[in-house]
Amino acid sequence: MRILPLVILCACGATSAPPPPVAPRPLPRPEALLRAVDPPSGPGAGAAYPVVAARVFALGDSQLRWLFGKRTFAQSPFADRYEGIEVAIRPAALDDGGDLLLATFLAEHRNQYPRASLVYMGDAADLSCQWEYDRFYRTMAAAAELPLLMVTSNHDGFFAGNFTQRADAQGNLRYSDLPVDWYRACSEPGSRDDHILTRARAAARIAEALPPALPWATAYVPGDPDDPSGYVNTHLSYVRPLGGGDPGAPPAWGVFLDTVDYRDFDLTSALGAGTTGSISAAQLRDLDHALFEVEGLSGGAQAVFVAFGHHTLAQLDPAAQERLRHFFDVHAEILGYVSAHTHFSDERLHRLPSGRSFPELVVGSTTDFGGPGVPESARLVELRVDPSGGGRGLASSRLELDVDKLCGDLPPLDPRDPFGYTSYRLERDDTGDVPTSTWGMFWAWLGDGDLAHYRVAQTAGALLVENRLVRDLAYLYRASPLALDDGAIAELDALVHRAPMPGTGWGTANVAEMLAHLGDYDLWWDPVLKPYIPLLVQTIVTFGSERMLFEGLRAGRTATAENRRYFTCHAARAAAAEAQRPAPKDHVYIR
Amino acid sequence: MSRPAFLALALVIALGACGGSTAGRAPIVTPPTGPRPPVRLQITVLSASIDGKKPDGTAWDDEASPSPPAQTGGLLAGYLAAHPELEGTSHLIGEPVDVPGVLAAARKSSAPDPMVYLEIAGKTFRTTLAPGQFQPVWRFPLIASLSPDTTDVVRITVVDWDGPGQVDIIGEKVLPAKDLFARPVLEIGRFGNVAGLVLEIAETPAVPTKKRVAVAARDGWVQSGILVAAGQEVSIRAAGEVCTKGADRTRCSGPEGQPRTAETNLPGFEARGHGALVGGIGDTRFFVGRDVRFVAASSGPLLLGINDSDVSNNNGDLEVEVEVR
Repeated sequence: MRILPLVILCACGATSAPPPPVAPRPLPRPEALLRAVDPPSGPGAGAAYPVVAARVFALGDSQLRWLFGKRTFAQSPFADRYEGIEVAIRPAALDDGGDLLLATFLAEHRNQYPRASLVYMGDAADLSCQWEYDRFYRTMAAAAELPLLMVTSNHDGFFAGNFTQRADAQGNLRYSDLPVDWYRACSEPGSRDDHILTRARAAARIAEALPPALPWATAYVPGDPDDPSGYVNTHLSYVRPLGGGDPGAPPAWGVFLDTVDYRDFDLTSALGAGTTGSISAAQLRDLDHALFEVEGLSGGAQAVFVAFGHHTLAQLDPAAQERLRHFFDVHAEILGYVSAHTHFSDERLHRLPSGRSFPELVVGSTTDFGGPGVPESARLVELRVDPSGGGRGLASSRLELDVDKLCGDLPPLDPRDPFGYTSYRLERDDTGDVPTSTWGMFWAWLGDGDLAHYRVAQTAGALLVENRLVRDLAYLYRASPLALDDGAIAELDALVHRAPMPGTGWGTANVAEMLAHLGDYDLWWDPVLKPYIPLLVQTIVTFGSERMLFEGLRAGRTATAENRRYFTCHAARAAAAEAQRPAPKDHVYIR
Repeated sequence: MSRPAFLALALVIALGACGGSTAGRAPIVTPPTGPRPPVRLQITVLSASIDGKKPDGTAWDDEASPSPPAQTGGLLAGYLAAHPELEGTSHLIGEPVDVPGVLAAARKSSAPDPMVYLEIAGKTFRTTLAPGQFQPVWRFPLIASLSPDTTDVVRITVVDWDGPGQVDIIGEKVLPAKDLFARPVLEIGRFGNVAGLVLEIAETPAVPTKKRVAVAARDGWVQSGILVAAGQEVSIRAAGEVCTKGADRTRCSGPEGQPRTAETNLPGFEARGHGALVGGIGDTRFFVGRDVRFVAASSGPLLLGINDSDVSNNNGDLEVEVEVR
């Protein structure tokens, strides 16, 4: 009977084949640092549909900040407290580690959601300096995220996200030194060269990094890169395919809106590009044409779309809102609108003119907390369809950074620490406010036509805050696991323990003599500040004066996993502390 | 069991396990059964001959005799149900889009104003109107797919148009659909007051056509350059923007039209958005908007236009893609 198996094998022509190769064991997936959280209103109407046409990993508002230029009114204590939106000043640990937080999200994309198309929702920069974009694109390149789908935004082309000229804010910025303040804020220490990120320069960088496409897919007018107020002549909107869908799913495309397109809106009549976005009728015509072409490509399979834009629908000017609602209404193939800007993950449902419901998903920030206990976040968006019933819709989840898991056993700085994350608030809140009411402005105008004393006070406050931030950052690096040499240790210690030097600043005996010794760059301030500020800068420390030290140290942040964790964790902890806002507006500390 | 017998048995088992079969067990090939596959036919309603008087001896269109009641069911209802894209325009049936005046001519004549309804392969079609003619020649092509072995019937109804929704039936004929395959020219003898009717039948291959057309808001009806036969599937998509009051941007819209109507809307589209994209084939009109798909109800050149009879102050244009298969 033992012959039977042999006979069967021979009859089948089988040979004694070598054992199959052992499949390589997949590498263990790194532990996830992002928690997928269902929105309070549920994952969305599309969650019930079985087929995913595309997956999108959306993130944005990294607000990478150039620290080494000159502090101006835009980073003043008043600007930080104005309307309770504290984004003009951030903790030093957060400004320093914003790129590390962004890199953490990109690593999560690569490790946990590799099939999803990455979409960057804008505000990569903060002050709108070219240095900030350089840092952003370096981070993206290091994470192999180029080419990149990215929308235009207010911080990428408008100084501090809002202004470009004195005519802005209904002319109230005539009291400022715009646009020269912008050049100062973006300057390289010692040089007055132009490093501002104009809207045209930002759009050019975004356009250059886009995936290639047929001409009709992109509506791009480059504008004048050197004109700080040339934003009206620049616009960039486009459509591109999205990936990560299931086999056999219909094609899915993204519609990338330009929400800082002011061709049909007078931005100078608004409080700034941060308060009011816009979309021109011409842009929607271009996109209408692009959708027309996409649908012609689909070969009978009905493509599905999702729109991306930086500003939320509610933050567009009223006419643009109406235009966009109509656009969404007549394009039922667009399943929803993904926006950002508020730094707060949110889900909204709009009613279109036809009565149809239309979802908007707001993406949080990779840098800022959305509020107390609401960590940095991205969002996973799925375009889902039901081939049998014809249903189509979006499903999404918030992806929140698990700060405790990121930090492990690394403790946060003590809130009472004089170099703690938000210690700068001492100096900030010691600086008085600027009148903004009509009555207040009137009295101020009666007393001082150019409000120069407010400009002096706020710039002085900004510099005192910077002095604190420099020492905070020195303190953070001094306690870090970086392998510091003796020279660095001495420099950091000197910064931490620094006291005003006698014989300098306002206390100096011979002001004229001191000014005579200052260089061109040292004296490059708003003219009304000239009698005071150059001397103040001789007294306090600035990031600009310590650039070589900090840039040298920054290179070591990613040298080891421990270093990376230390700086990323403190950035995240600083954001958490920043989100706690115990100091009410107008509060003044008495020290 | 002896060893050779056992080996033979094992071999048989092994072959069975391998899915082998023994010679002589070749599968039996059965000839296909059932009707032959459908053939795409172009059926042209060529001409007819109609008696000079009604059966009661009166003229077909005697202005002294009362008009028949408006037809709310039957032929027209079936026709409109088969072609929902014609909604709102049925009162203009018979009036060509590009050559108006046919209905007015039909009202004046005492001779019949015949047209033919054909119900074939589950679809209802209608020829154009031949005003005041006893020997109408339509040359109206339509496309239908039928199996030569079909057991369906073709219903042919010749009517005299008396006004919107009002017809007299001149003659009605039902014939087996497979008769269409018998000869290239089918002459149908007398039925009712129709002395004879001629159909031409020919196999025709499907040649899909796809074309881009620009429709300028100032141009009125625009010839697309595409000839459509009734029964063909038509797909139209559009994009762009047109404005109907100079530089006034509140009077601009995409192909879907403005969220308002106007007195200058085109006939048949009074209730549609002003400035919307509309279309016409032969004597049928239909709303296009951003996109529309339908089986053509009529034959003729496809025309496209903006829903505005006063185009003098219009600007902008629409990009339109037409696909006919």
